[in-house]
Formats: sequence, C-alpha cells, structure tokens
Amino acid sequence: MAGAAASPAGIRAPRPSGAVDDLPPPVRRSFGHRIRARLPGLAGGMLVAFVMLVLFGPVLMLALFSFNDSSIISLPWEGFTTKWYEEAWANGQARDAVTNSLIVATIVMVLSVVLGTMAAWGLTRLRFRGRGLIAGLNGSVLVVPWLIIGVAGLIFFSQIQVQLSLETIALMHLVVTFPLVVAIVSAGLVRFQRSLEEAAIDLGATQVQMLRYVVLPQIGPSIAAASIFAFAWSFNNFEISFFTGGFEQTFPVWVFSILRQSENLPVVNAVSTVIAAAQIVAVFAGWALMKRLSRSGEDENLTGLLTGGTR
Amino acid sequence: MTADGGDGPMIALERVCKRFGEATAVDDVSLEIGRGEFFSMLGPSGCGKTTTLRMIAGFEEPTAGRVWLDGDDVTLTSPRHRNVNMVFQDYALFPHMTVAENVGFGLKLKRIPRAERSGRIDEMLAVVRLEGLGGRRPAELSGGQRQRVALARALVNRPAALLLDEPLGALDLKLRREMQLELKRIQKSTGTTFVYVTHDQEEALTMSDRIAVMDGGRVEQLADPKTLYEQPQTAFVADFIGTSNALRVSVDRREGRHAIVEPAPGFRIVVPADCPVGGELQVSVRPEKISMLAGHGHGANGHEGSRIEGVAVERVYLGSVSQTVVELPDGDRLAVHELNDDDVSEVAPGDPVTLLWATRHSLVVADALGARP
Repeated sequence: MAGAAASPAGIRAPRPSGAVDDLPPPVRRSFGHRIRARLPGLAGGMLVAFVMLVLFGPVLMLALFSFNDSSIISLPWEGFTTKWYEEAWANGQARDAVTNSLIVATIVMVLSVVLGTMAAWGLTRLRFRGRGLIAGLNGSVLVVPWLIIGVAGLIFFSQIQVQLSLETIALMHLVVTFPLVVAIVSAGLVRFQRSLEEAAIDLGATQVQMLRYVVLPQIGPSIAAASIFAFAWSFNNFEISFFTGGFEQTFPVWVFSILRQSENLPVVNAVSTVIAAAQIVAVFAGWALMKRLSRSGEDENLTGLLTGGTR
Repeated sequence: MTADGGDGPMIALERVCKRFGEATAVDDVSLEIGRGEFFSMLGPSGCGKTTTLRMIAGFEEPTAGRVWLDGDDVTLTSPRHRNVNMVFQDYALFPHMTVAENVGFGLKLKRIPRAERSGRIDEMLAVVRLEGLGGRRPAELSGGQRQRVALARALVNRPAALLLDEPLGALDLKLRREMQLELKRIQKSTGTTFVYVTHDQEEALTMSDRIAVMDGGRVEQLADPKTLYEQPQTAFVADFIGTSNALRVSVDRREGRHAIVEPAPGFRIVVPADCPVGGELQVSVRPEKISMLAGHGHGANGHEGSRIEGVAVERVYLGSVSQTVVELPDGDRLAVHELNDDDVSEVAPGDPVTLLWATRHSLVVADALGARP
C-alpha cells in the first residue's frame, strides 16, 4: 500500500534504461504480518496431517501390533517379534484363502474390464432405444448393498441348483465390478474429444486402427484405474463371497472365520499387514508405470490415475 | 499437388439436402468448386455450412442429392476412402503423439516407408514453418502452432481438397489475421483446393476466390468477394457482408431507365431498376458510398443521383472512419461512413445534413421473402 502512494499512477518521469535507483524501495512487512500471511499454510498442513492420521492410523496400528510379542492386541509393548508372520506363512488355510482370492480377483478383473469397456463404448458412442435406461440400471447396481447382492446370489444359485464354488463367487463379483468399470471407462470416454475419432477416420484409419492408435492410448488411465478398482473390490469383498462361496474360502471370509478365536488375532494382523502393504505398493507401481507409458506431456498424478485420468 | 489433371470441377454438389429428423440443415444446395480454388462457405451459425462441409468430407450422408469429387460420385463413400482431409475447429490433434507423429499418422496408415515418411513430414513442417518442433507434444504448443500442425497433418496426405471448419475460431484477433495470410500463402504454394467454412465475413473476404453466402440451409449468393460486396443480390447478403442501409421504397415516376422515388421535396432516391410506377423496391446503400454535407440545400439543383435531407442523430468514432447515423424525414435511419482524414466533417447530433450518392450505388436487393422485382 505504501508502494502505491510513493508512485502516483499516471505520472512517470522518463527513466534512462537500466537505472532503477529512483524506484521506490520495496516495503518490508512486519513480522506479525508475515506470520499472518503464512497462517493459512500452517493450518492447511495441520489439517492434512490430521486427515492422514485418521485415514492411516488404524492400518498403522494393525501393522505395529503384528510385530508385538503378545497375543493380546493392546499396550504395553511386549517386544519385537516376527513369529506371527512365520505362523501365518505356515498356516495352510491362510495361504489357500489368499490364493483363492488372487485367482478370483484376477479373473474378475480381466472379465469386467473387457466386458465393461465394451459396454462403456456402446453406451457412450452408439445411439439406441433404452440407452438411458440401461445406463441408469447399470449405475443403480453400484448403490445396492453387497450384503443384499450376496443373499440374492445365494438364493439364485440354490434355485437353479448350482453348487456354490469359487466360480459362483467370481460370477457375483462380476455383478458389482462390471458396473464400476462401465462407470469409470464411460467417464474417460465422455471426456475424450469426439473429433479425434473423426480425425483418425479422416486420415484413413479403420475402426480397429482408430481404437488401437487413438482411443486406447487416450483412455488408458481410465482402464488402468478400472482394473485396479475391479481387482481390489473383488479381492476385498466379504459379503458376496461369504454367501456365495459354499465351502470355498476367500481371504476376507477366512479372516472372519478365525477372528472368533482371539488367539488367532496376531496372525490375522500379520496377514492383513502384508495384504494392505501389497495393495498400496501395487497402486503406486501402477501409477509409476502409467507415468512412464503415458507420454501426454501433462502432469500425471495418483489422483488422476485413480479417477481414470484427468485428461 | 492436385490429383490427376482433369479439368472438371474438383468438387461438385448436385441438389444436396440434409435433414435431421424434422429439421432441414441443408436445403437443395448445388455448387461447383474449381481446382486450386480457395472457396468459402459463409453464414451465421445454423446456416448449414458445416453440415455441407461434413457431407463433402463424408461424415454426414446427404438425405438427397449427390456429391462429386474429382469426377467420381462419392455420395456414399466412407471418409477414409475419400481423397480429402479435414482441419477441425478444435484441431483434434492426438495429444499422446508428438507433432511429427501427428503429421505422419495418415502416411503411416497408408504404409508409406519410414524414410519417405520422415522426408514428407519435414517438408510439410517447413511449409507451415514449424521446423524443429517435430518432437514436441501438442500440449507444449501455442494455439497458432497447433493450428499449423493440424494443417500439416491434413496437407501431408496431398489431398485433392482440404476442408477447413472454422479453423481460426479459437485464436485471438491478431493471430487470426496472421493465420489468414498464412493460410492463403500455403494454399497458393501447394496449389490445393481449399474449402473453408466461417461465420466471419472479413475472414472470407480476405482469403477467398469465391464465397457462397448461406442462410437457412440455402446458398443466398455465390460470387467473388468484390461482387458480393458491391452487388449483393439479397437483403441478407447485403446485411451480412459489411454494414448496409436497407430502405423499402415505392416508385413515384420514371426518368429514362431509372426509377425515381420522391415522396417529398428534399427526399429523392434514384434507383437503376426497371420497375413500374407504384412498384415496391428494397434498396441498399453502403455507408461509405454516401457523401454527407453539413446543412440543407446542397446539390438541390444539378445533382444527378439520390439526395436526401435529414438530421444527424448519432456520431461514433470507429478508428479509420467515423459513423454518423442520420434520421430521414420518414423516420428511417441511414449510417454514413466518413474517412477520418483532414477533411472529415464536424457534424454533431442534431445538425441538419444533406446526403448524396450516385445512382449506381442504389443497390436493388431481393427482400426477405426472396422475391425480386
């Protein structure tokens, strides 16, 4: 403000180039003023720290207690041990359950991404009767509780007399991951400039070449995000797997079944820590990979990947 | 660079119509575009110019009529099999490819060997003055540079015709002016037929060999820029190209081959038209063709052409010219442009003025219903 008073607007004597001596000196602000200017930054930092604590605190506690030499999940700290990890590794049930989950999640991911991308293409690019209805029904599945889908699956399979197995789990997982993929990929396709497709055709591309060279590279982040979510939803799902798995156990179902005996808690802690760490690493690895593959020249970030790319 | 040396038109539209449901976008358009011509379609939004362009490109199928390209009927040919390329309004550059990859995309699809391809890419980047930027991504370019990449990407395929859909719409005025001259230069140096769609009359007048002025899906007038400006055939064209003064008059008597409108003393319009006494005419006068003198009574005797005494009601400084709006005795208003040189008049609102213009500048245009006298 003092600066404005020192140089009245509109009247400025011609200055020889290079001479800056006659400019008013910069105004040094008071200490209090500088603190006040930085306060919003400090408050913001504290808020971020608090949110991070709420988000990751429980998981960190779980990881911490998996190294505690006690079968009771509480302080005091009894000493560092890795015996729960050894016990978990030796636990055949745990290994089977994790293997089952990996197989189911992989199959569900591949199927839902392929089918969901095709459906998203149809819903955003073709005009047909009932398009809005189908898009609406697709979205509504996303808000139906998994518990209800699980129970519905159980009733359905018993009605048509199909033996419950990993296949029935995968099928019911597909019911929830397919609409998710459709939603994420559709969002990517809607953001995608239609004229790029016309430009490719105009330059002589066939439909297949257009998809291969223009569309897929553009919606890559959306498909990557859809894959991560489809895999995670299937891997983490408890309610649907619980009702439609019969005697087969996925990882969450196994955790639930042994939690009833408290002496198993540290083992569950250990396995869960490994799983959570693996999933977090997988997301970051996916992000790093996307960053290398995507050559858009624009700033890529993790949020962008998880929301299907911000472009 | 134009395709084979045939001598018929490069593009011909034969009674082309396009309807979207109930709405008619293009209504019975026939026109021919010559080889190496810079042809523009000019009109307000919704006049059917872009739809017409897209039918030439192959993105829209005509409801009726035929499209000819270089002597072949391409009405139902897919865009990828037509030897025309398009420059899109939003450029439609592929963001994940470099400039060179964008430009070479069409050549790659045509399986042109890599060595020849990179030669042609470099050559075309030189034509659009983007040498050395082949490695950049579209996001790293300015608007004008993206525009040039879009041009190069289309021209590198040596199309029989280049179709441009309002390509300068996203640029600021100064850059737009620069690119207008640049487009004209590129068109001349490659000899390619350009079909240019715009709503900007100045842009069309600057660059085009011929212009089709369109409205409501029809071609109102097709002519070179000078004819369009000097001899507009319809009130729409007179109004859309430049500023025009439209007057509806009825003929009071005839003098030789001229119709005279003289409802009162000091109000005389001479129209070079073969119209019987009592007939109605729509007359348009360009603002810069009118000379304005302060006061009444000038040229009362001896002036051959139109002469009207009125009162100045508004005066605006427009840079190179000053515009004065003059109210006529019957309540109509005429705009007058005076060059802002040393002799510019000092007329102020409220001053009486006399307007004079030569007979040949009273342009007879068809009225809004399309009826000509």
